[in-house]
Amino acid sequence: MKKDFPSPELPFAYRDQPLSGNIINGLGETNKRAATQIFHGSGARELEWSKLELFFGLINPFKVSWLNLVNRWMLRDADGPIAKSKRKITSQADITAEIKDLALSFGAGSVGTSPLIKEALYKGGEINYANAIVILYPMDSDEMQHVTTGRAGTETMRAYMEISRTAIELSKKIRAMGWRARAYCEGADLLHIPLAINAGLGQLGKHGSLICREFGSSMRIATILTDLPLDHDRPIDIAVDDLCIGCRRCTIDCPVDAISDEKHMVRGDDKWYVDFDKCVPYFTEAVGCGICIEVCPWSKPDRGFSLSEKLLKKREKNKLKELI
Amino acid sequence: MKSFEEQFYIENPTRFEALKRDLLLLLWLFRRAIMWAGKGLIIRLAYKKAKNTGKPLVIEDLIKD
Repeated sequence: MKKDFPSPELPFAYRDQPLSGNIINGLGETNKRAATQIFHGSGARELEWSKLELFFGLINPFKVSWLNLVNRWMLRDADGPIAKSKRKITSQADITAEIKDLALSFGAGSVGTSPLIKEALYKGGEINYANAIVILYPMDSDEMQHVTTGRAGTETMRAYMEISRTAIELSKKIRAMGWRARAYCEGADLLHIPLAINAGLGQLGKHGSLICREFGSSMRIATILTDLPLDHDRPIDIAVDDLCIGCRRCTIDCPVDAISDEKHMVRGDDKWYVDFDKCVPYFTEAVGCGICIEVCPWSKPDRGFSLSEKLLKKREKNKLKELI
Repeated sequence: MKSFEEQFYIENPTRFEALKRDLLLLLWLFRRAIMWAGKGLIIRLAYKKAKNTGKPLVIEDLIKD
């Protein structure tokens, strides 16, 4: 990977700094509450850091901006006509397997199901669906070696477009069965990571992104919300914490030291947390950055399964040793 | 203020609703493209200059309420 990342000395700044994203995110808060949008949003409400977001959109290279507009045009089909006759579901297990097969055939790299949990909704968000189908789509690892440049930004947008296309196709199929379904993709008012974790697709990494065995963190997430009755997957333990606790790749490589080596209390949960105020301005400068997810050992192609197996075995061994 | 979803995601639309949505979305996209090409160009030039001179841009001066 190239290492000539942009300088942490940024060529832009707020005159009056907005309220700290860490405060809005609830860093240090012990009570549970819903998350609040700060930077990326769907336009539903004025965000505290919206000026920086607009600035980010305007300094993006042409290709990234163009793909973003094409993606938005595609997303008009995220919801649509529902067939009048509703397909009867005799076996939830069968329909869940059918939906997963369809998602994979449409191009998803991985798929899981979960109920729509409240942790996936932002403060004030009202979404009325029963179930979530979460899909992952891998980014090209060769292209993502060029993180902090327009080339990686373009690959990220391409992945967003592909996952949008997949999610839209799947939502159309479900609606053709007579059930409500809506695809939530890039920029939607939905937190994908809690759903992906609950759908058994992976775990939260030290860098604040999802880690899965198939693609590490080098992927995009989209969700289809539906009333179609589905069996739910369960959260899995792939030993992400076992590695993250000792590994310092992302903390060392992050040019602005936004990643912490310890978990923090955030809105009542002890979890990995990335310093928003340090991360997001640099993210803006570095065409969406992505250094942490690309240097992550889990993101090396075809590494995740063996790494997870090795770490789980090591954990078992250590447990046995302690017992003896 | 309506979100992108509230504006352009329509459950079970009629043909007219879908057509209206498509036209409004085209207008929305056109506005975004014009903004990137117009205001965006001015900001990108200022940004380039700030990078070369080392004098940071002030976000509020570039993006007004």
